[in-house]
Amino acid sequence: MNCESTQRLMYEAVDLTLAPDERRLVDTHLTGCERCRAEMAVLDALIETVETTPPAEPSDAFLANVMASLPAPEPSPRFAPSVVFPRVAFAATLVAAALIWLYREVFAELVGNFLPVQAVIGPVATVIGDLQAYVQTQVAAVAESLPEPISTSLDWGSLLLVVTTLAVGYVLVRTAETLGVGNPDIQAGRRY
Amino acid sequence: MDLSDEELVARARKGDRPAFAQLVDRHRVSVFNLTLRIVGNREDAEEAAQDVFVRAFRSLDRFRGDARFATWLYRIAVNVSLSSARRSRRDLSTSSLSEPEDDDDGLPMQIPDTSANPAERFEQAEYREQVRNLVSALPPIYSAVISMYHIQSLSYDEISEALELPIGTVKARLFRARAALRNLVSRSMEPDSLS
Repeated sequence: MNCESTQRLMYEAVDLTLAPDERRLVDTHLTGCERCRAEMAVLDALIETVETTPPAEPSDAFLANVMASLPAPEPSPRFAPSVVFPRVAFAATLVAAALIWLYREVFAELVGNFLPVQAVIGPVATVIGDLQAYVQTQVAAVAESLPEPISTSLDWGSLLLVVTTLAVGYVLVRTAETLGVGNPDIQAGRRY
Repeated sequence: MDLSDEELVARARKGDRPAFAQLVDRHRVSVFNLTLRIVGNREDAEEAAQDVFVRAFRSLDRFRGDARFATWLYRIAVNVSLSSARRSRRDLSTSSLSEPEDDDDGLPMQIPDTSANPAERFEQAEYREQVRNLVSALPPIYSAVISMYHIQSLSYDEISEALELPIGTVKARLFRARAALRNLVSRSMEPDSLS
């Protein structure tokens, strides 16, 4: 094997991927050729230099720059708590208001005497009833003081309760949105 | 507890940005060094490396997990770096994964004069810097394979996957890249190049 052939194989010999018979040919040639031995030594030293040169460090701002370049988060309606929470809360408020109205207007007499229902709703109903009675008294007093008496056939107490429930629900939802309730990034004070 | 890349990817996919920040922090040096070898200067290399992570973030849903996350990142890094090199430094015809046209075998046709050991002619640090620059001066595909094999310590399989080339082609290019680097070093040691 001549020097040129040997040196072609040297570049494979660096990572020991030569077939055993090729490796033997190279070794045999290297034993008798000082020039190729020197070349092999230089090549080994060169590869070692490449492999042991310390890696270059990117700038300190690298991570911050990358994170600042990421596209803005797009909250998914299915998964983003910050969007889901106020919607669920608002829907729950609506349902609560509707249930209160239905209970007061339709089902109170039907289910009111059923013991388990009474046990659950009873205390709440008592408070609501007291509140309603107070509101009705006030409304009646205002109505009587008016020059033209207005009809009080409408259940003003129930209506006011529903409106109050909706208003409280709305305020809660807005507050939750402002405070970032349910948004893990805002809660943790994270920058990204 | 350190989470694996795959666990961090799963979190990042769900919008967990701190998890992605951990991935960036973990791989920023290796990605930057790969882009630096291919692009050739710090400024463009840093910009390219940042672009790599932004693209990776946008494509997280396409990461199938059948390769290592790092390998997947390197694939993006090679593509981004080649585009950057094409724009800024290299000639269009050599800034690709194809072989340099004028380098059929890539091997030195003449046996270089090795009577003087380069390490003896340069201070060690200076010599390392010189070699680092010479790796960057190689055709991009050679810079890429040398960087991935000798600096990032990737296997042939991983390089093959990152470059989307057959293993045999990767091996051939690595051998030629070594030879080309050896030639560059020889030339840089010539008296004319030192003045």
